[in-house]
Amino acid sequence: MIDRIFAFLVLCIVLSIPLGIAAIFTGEMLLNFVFFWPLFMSGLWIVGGIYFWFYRERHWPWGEGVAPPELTGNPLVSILIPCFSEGVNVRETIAAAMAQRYENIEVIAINDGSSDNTAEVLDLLTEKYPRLRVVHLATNQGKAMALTAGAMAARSDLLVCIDGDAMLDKDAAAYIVAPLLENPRVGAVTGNPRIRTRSTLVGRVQVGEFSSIIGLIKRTQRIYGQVFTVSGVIAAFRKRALAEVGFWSNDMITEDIDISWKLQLQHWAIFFEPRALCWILMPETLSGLWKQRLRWAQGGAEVFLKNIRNIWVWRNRRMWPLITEYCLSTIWAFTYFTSIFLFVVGLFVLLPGGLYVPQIFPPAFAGLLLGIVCLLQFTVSLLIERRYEEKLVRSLFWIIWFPVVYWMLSLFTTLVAFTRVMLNSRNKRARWVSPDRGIGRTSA
Amino acid sequence: MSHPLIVTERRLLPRLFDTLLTLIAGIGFIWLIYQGVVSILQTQQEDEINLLRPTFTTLAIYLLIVLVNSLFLILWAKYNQLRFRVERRTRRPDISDDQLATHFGLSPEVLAQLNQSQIAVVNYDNDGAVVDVNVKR
Repeated sequence: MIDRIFAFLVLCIVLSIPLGIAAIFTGEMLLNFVFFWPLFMSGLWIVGGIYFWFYRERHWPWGEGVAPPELTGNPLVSILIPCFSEGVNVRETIAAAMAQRYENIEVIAINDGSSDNTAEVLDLLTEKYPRLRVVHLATNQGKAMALTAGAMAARSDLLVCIDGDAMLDKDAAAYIVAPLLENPRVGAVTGNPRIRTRSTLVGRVQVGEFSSIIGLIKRTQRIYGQVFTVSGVIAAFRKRALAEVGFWSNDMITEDIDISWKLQLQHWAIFFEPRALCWILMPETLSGLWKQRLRWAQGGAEVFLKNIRNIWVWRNRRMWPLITEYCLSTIWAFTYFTSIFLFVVGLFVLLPGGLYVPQIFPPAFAGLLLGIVCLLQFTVSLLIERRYEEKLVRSLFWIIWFPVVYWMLSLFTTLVAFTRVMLNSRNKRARWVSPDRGIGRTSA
Repeated sequence: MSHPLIVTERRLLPRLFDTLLTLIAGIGFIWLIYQGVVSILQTQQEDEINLLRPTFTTLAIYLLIVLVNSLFLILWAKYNQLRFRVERRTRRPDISDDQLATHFGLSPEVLAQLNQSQIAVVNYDNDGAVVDVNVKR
């Protein structure tokens, strides 16, 4: 009960901050925050991306002729693939995992009580691939439990976790595991997801978004030293680190954000390895994209609520900037919402001076600055990421949408998900069905 | 692996719609930039010194903020590089099977069976605890 009251209070505070600022100062101050917070973050991501590239990435060999990294001691690597109703996709997922140039691997597919023919397909595949192992969960338990079952069955301490519809690049397992062997304090490594589905506008826009925003954010957070989340679709973990934090939580809607925070709060570091490519399916319809991003936003809010009270002790100080950034991004969404609300009300009712919001579109100068910074951000990301995808420049035509998609989607999903989590904290088993995985694939 | 992209063939109309919409958005974006430049130039014509000053002041403040942020980020990164230049931790040994078995509430024998299996079925109770491991192969 106390938790629910606390969550409700947090929501009240987040809602009242923009109104309070408008009432005490001016509506213009709200607008300045709305227009310039994206600029502020964009500037930081550009600098972080450039620094990561300059200091680290440009020295890393990459290309067709480059051999995979040698792993000291030739350790066994366990690739875990949780599958829930992935009968359509799992053959190519397993084939790509099996095609790793690093040979000392075992692939463990975890059939999470699928309702389609995943179980039969996986059992058949074990005859084709002797190194494939299958763990069937008798009933659907959710991704976190499936991953934990995979970790339980794995013979190695080095776990590479990918989704049941994701295709590992031929050297991805070796690249993503190498930092775990080289650095004793690294508990997890996040890889570089690349989007396969490019048939619709929604699919193509995400290509630019993943490169321009998500790639730069990961690089910047790595430079800072703490990472908000590993990519659930491609990440590697040290089993010892997972055991220390109790493996994945089965009541969080995004197990990847939660495990990232649990590991870092136990002082395990998370690295980013851009050469660990993983080809993924993303939604190609607006409703699919909305459903997916709403789940991500809900996961962020759940992790925020879980950690907001215990994070303010000195030993967790390195996480403070991450949670502050999350708070400010959430306040940004509610400020934007408040601005629009006050603007609409102001059209019909005479509001007190401070609450009057004259416009909700950026003024010419701010628009100019936003446009230039967006272009600069995309150019920087293109220069950094083009070596991983030769024809990335082609997405330039569609890139115009990426700021809209990222910031507007962030705005609406934050508003809905944050409110939902604060009003209805769950603490029950997290299970979900993936949204559409491209218009050419039937969803589960 | 070559890039395994999936481009599902669509009808002409939706493809045209996407392209047209993107073109309009692109033109709108260029217009936004053009408006910004025009407004600054017009300001310049009206009163070169006085009215242009706030624009450049604002721009200078943004640039300053970006520079300060960058400086903090890079100094922090450099500090971390120095701080962790010499690794003080040693790699801890892998977690033992016994520790894992205890963690999962299994006997070491059952865990060993699961580790050696190619196909296994795991049953859970309602609280998410493993009830039974059945090795099929």
